[in-house]
Amino acid sequence: MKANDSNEKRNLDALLSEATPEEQDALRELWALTGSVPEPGVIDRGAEEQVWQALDTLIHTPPEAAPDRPRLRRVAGHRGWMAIAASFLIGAIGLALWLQPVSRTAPLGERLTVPLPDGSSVELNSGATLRYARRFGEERAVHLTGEAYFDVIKDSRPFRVETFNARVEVLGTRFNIKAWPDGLAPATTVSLESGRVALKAFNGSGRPVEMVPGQTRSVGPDTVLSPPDTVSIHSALVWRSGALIYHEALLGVVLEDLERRFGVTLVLQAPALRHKRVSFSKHNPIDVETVIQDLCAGNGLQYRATTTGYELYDPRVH
Amino acid sequence: MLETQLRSQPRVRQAEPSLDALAQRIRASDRAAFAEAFRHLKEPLVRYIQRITQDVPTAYDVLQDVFTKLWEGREKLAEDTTLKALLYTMARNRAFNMGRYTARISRVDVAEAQDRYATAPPADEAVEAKHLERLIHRWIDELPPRRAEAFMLSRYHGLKYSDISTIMGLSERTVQTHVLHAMRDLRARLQTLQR
Repeated sequence: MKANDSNEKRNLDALLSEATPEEQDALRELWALTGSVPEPGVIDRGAEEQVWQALDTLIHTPPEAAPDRPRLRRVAGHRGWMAIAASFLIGAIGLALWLQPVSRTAPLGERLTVPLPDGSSVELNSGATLRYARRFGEERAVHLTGEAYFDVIKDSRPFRVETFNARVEVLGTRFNIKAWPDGLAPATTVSLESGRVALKAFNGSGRPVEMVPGQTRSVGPDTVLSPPDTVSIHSALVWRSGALIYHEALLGVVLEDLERRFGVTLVLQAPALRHKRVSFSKHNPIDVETVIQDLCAGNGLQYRATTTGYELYDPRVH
Repeated sequence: MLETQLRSQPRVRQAEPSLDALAQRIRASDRAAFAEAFRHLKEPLVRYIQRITQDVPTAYDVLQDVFTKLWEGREKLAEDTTLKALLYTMARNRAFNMGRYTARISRVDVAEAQDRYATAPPADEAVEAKHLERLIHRWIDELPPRRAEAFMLSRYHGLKYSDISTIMGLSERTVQTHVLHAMRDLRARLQTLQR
């Protein structure tokens, strides 16, 4: 709060210029004294969280769909006991809410940036969920399902990300984790942009493996750690700019990504097509149909619309 | 001696982003910027609103209203919006309107709530510090309302006199006079204590 402090200091200086010379020291002292105690007032974390939940819903509601916004609470009644009972109840509920871990999910078709209590931030890809304690204790531990980019603030406490099958130990750093537990290729894939992290598979033998910047490593469904891969870190991070880039990727995996990204259902006429390798890139995808069209055109496929999305097929099979 | 004790406790403050840059991002419907503004201003705003509503739950209602209006009206934000002054002004107006219906709730409620919400009981050495803190809070409460308001905004909210004058609808000069008078009142109280 550099700016704030200097505003406050300027405020004092302006005052002192008005004050009599005899009282200047006393006023300066009083200014310091009042600054050394917290400002009066009650902070109710439970109420605060409720307000944020309501606002979070508001900002994720498209304008045309906005319902009459729910009132958080009715204005308290006139009777004192009622107000006291109500605020006590709210306090109790608030405390209960406060002790629950926070769970944030990026809606399908959207990305979400989650600020953590330690100042670190996590950008969630569509459909990904992050769980964390409202207040970090001895260690900073979070749980991730799906894909996210972490920007971790350096701190004496360790930062730990757990996925369905692996754990990443972190010092201050930036990295991407992709950890979808279901689907064609369930794996935890870590791409390190800068700093240092150590990756360890659950049930895996051996110690956590340290990674160096630029590396990508995966823990597969068999909880086996892959050898380091040095594909460009850029390709692991393109999702943050909204781009879609695949090189020789499994069609099934691509479709899973697109489903989350656009919130549609994509099916294959022949399940075996899931293992087909496809390449495709789109830097500024606007709507799902253009993307499907490009994907099909570039890989010898065709598509037709269904009620909830699209069906892809290989025209040569018929 | 009390003072040294208090001074030795470090004040934890979070870094503040450029709030006016946030205003421009909010105008462009940037949700992260909105979240950031909320995160940085929720506490000071709610403390400020409580002075007017004299009631904690109502203060959170006002907080929600203010940020809801900010989001709903984001496209109408001016190029040179001073986000902080805008939110404080909205909060003040809204709080006074609410106050019309809840004016009966006494100041005692806030004091009681404050005790109830207080975390761990103070340790021995902190007792005296806590005592002085309560005294100062009570002195501030007993100031004439506008004097107290101007003082609080200038002392705890990192606002310039020009912003406070916008928020309170007073001239800058009057704001400054209010603050000076508040300081003199508080000083007189402190002197009585030290004697």
